[in-house]
Amino acid sequence: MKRLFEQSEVTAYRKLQRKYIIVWITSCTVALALLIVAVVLWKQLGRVAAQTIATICTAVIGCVSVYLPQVMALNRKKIDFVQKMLLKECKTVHLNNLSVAKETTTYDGLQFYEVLASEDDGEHMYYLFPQKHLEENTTKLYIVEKYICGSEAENNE
Amino acid sequence: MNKNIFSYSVKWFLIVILVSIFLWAFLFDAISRPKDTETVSLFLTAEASDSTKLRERLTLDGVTSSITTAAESSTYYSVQFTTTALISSDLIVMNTEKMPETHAEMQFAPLTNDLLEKYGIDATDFKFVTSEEIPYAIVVFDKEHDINLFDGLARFDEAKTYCIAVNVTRPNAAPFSTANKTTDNTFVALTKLLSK
Repeated sequence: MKRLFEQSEVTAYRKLQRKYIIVWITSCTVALALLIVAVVLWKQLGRVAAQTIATICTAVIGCVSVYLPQVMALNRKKIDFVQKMLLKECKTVHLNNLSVAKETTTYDGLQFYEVLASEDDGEHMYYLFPQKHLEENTTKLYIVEKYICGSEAENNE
Repeated sequence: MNKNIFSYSVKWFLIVILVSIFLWAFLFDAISRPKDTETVSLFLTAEASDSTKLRERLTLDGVTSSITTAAESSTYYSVQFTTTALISSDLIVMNTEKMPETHAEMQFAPLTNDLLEKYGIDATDFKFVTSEEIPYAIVVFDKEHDINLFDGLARFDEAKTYCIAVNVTRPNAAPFSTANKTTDNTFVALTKLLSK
C-alpha cells in the first residue's frame, strides 16, 4: 500500500499557519504604528501626506484582516483533513478502471480532483487531494469516507 | 495565492479601501480644522483696508488671523452688525456711536489700566470710548483730534470716529470671555495691532 499522506505534511501546514499569524500580526502592528505616527505628527508631515499614510495603513490592516483569516481557515481545514486521512481506518476498494479529472473541484471547502472509479458493482466517485498522484495501473484504492488516502498499483504487488 | 479566496476578497478589498478613504477624509477634516482659539478675527468697519498688512500685524505664533472689512451702511448696521461682527469676531472696529450706553460688559471687555498694563499698552497714549464710565474701546480714527492708529492699514469715513473693542462672547478674551477654554489671544493681537 502506498500511503498518500504523511505526518510531516501536518507539521508543514502547522508551520505555514504560524507564518500566516506572524505576517498578520506584524503587518497590522507596523501599519497601526505608522497610522498613529501619521495622526500624531500630522502638522509636521502635512495634512495630505498624513491623511494618505493613514488611509493606506487602514486599508492594509483591513485588507490583510480580510484575506489572511480566510487563508488561515483554509489551511486549518487542510490540517484537519490530512490528520483525518492519517488517523481514520481506511476501507479497501478494488478497481477495474479509474479516471482522474484534469480540473479541481471544491468539495466541503477544499479543492480535490474527482476520481471516477469503475468497480465490480458499478462506478463510484472519490476525491483525490491536490499534489497527490495515482498511477495508471492502480488496482486498489484506500478510502476514508469519500477521500483517497492510499493506493496500490499492479507492479507494486 | 488561492484563486477562490482572492476573488472573494476583492469586493472586501474595495469596500475596505473606500471606507478608509472616507473615514480619514472626515477625521482629518475634523482634526485639521483650526479651533476657535487658533484664529483671531478682526471685523473692520472701514471704506477700504490693506488686509495683508493688517494680517502681518495680527498674526501670532500658531494662531491664524482672519479679517473682514465692511463699509458702514444702514443695511449693514441694521442686519450684519449684530450677526457677523458682534457674534463672530474677536476684535471689532466700529463706529464709536455704536457703543452701548448700558450693559456694554455683555458684549465688550473693559479695557482698564491694569489690564492694558499687563499687555504693555500705555493707557495715556490712547483715547477711550466709555460706557457707564468704564472704558470699553480705544479710538482708532478721529479726524477732528488727529487720531489715526490704522494709518496705512485702513481708510475710514472722515466724518465719523471709529474705535476698537474686544468681543467677550468669543473664546479668545480671557478672563472676560463667556466661552469655554479661553485664551487671551485677542488682547495679545490688540497689543500688536496698536504697536507702531
